[in-house]
Amino acid sequence: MRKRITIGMVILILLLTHTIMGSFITNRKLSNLSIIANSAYEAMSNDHLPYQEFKKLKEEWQDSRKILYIFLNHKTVVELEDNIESIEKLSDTGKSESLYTVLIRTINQVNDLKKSIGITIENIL
Amino acid sequence: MGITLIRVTIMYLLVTISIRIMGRRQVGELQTTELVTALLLSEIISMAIENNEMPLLDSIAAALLLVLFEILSSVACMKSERIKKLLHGNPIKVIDNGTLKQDDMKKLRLTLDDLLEALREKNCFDLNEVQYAILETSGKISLQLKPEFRNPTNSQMNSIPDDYGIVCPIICDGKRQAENYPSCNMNDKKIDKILKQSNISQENVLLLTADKNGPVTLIIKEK
Repeated sequence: MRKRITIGMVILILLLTHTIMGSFITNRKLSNLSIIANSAYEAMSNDHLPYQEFKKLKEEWQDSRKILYIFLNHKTVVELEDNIESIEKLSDTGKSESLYTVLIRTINQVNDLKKSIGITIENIL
Repeated sequence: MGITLIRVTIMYLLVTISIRIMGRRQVGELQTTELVTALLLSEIISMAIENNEMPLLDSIAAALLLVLFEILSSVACMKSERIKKLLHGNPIKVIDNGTLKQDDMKKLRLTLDDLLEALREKNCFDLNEVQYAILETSGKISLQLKPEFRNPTNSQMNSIPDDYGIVCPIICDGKRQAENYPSCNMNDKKIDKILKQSNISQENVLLLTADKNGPVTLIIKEK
């Protein structure tokens, strides 16, 4: 009996750690990506091509992708990865209109992902 | 992550309530919560195997949560009789002192055919022989025959046989089962003697069983 309760407690602690840490880390990584992408978007709105921000976005992505693959649905992470890679390619070619579209799509994707991991009634149902 | 856990919790409660509503006829040998855990666990594992896009950690967390629920429910059942009744229900008499309880059978959605089948499985072919039949929480039926139909026991007949303990396999498929020697007072020397008396080598023995009185069964391998 005591052994079973101990096992139960260990499982409970593992689950809580997994849930809280997972949510916290994923949220932080997505927030970082969102901040950089938004600052790039603002710069583009002012007719600048923010190469520095794109570089930062790429670096932040490289730093976050493993964690995001661990905690999020792989399909959505692949879509986000494709968009971030497109931003890098388009910034090299200087096609600002396409870049603008992809950047907005990326920002929306990151925001949607952030919303999707929140514990809300809509997400649960 | 958190969402998966909440979803599993909801599904666990839903399936538990559904199976309780479905009644014990659906349960078979498992208790309600055990059946629910088995059903959901197999589904989670199959999803984790089939769906590569779902993070494995989510599936592992969901499976662990089910195990946690199972532990919690078993601990709660041990601690509280009310929770035990709520989760597993009560044993219900369907034949009480020789009388068929038709109302209870209706409530349980137990047909007469089901009852007769369960009785036949217990080697009882006549309803009139039954004094009590109880539908257990596991879905099985236990019964007690009327005194006039019960087999007399050895003590009632004043004929108590000698107790030679349990019959154990000593040689299985040509291999000695040394762990069973103490239960039937055997040792390698005694077995060698039995084999010598039977004029057979150990490799040719399919099964040799014994109790404390000596060898019981010897089956030789077919060539």
